[in-house]
Amino acid sequence: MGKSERENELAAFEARLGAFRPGASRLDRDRVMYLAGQAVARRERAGARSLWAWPSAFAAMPAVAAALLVAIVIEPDSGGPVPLAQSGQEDAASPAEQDSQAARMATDHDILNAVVSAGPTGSEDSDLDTLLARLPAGRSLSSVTPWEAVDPDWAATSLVAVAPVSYVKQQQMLLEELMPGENAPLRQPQS
Amino acid sequence: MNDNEHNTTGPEEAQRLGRLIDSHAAALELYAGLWCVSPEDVVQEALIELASQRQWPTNPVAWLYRAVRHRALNASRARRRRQRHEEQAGLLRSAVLKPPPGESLDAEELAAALRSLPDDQREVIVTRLWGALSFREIGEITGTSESTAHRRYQEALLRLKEKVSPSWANPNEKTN
Repeated sequence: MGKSERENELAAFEARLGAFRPGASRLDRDRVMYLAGQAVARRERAGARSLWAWPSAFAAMPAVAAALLVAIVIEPDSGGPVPLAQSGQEDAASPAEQDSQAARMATDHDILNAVVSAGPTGSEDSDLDTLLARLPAGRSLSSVTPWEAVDPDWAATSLVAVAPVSYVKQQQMLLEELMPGENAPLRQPQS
Repeated sequence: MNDNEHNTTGPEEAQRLGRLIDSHAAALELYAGLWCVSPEDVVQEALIELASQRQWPTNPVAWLYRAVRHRALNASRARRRRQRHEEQAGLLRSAVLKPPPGESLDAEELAAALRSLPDDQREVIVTRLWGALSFREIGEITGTSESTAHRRYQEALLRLKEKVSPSWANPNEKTN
């Protein structure tokens, strides 16, 4: 059998094989079309999202960078001799707080003047001796409250426990204790 | 319009997909049946994957064969791990080939002859004879050259001819 004859036989055999057809598809065509439509819709939605998201991100990043740059450039100028936070606190203080601060400063100034005018007050030991002498009987210095040490009679009242002593009162009491006879009446803060 | 055109959307895309199903689904199932027992599922997944492509491939038919091959091989590997004999029983059932009117050889004998071929030869026979792909396309799908695909095809034809009954393999005897 020649080569060409063999090739012809093979071609005829191939043609007979090719005449066979694949059997009917078991694919559910409608279902495939439906699922494909869903896939296309998902793709379109994802495409729309990405269309919006990427330009937004692209636009936002330079804006953020520009804002940071402006902040960096402006910050040294706004500092100056007065820190920003301190000046902001002063600006934010209410009138009542400002009055209270002024009164406190005035009281401190009065105390300082009184101490300076009184001159030397003696040794610290004598002050301590005075405090110890005022201790209630049977009590040590460590077991009493500061108010019991300063004024045991006043501390014995229930008023101490109920109402805390004000800042001005504390200063006045200390002044009276440390500088007896020199306790000129303190100027009360104006309300 | 032929199936090789691309970059369409909407109803036109749906029409193209419908035509692909009508003309290629059966051959694709036959092809997927070389490896797995539920080829229709594999073909369905491949068709849906094609539909979800933003831009259709230049040659959607070849793309489908490649996608089906990939999915069928994956399904085959997964199933083979579970039960090997079921896998073999499901390959190339006779029902997937339909003889032409007046053909003396039944599809069962042809399917048996096909099953006896090596995997690469069986694949090239199915894609060439019933998928109507070119040897270049077959080479791209199987990862070989065009000439290798052609050589395998020739070898597979000769083997098949030897496997089937002599009266069927020789057309002259049939006509006589």
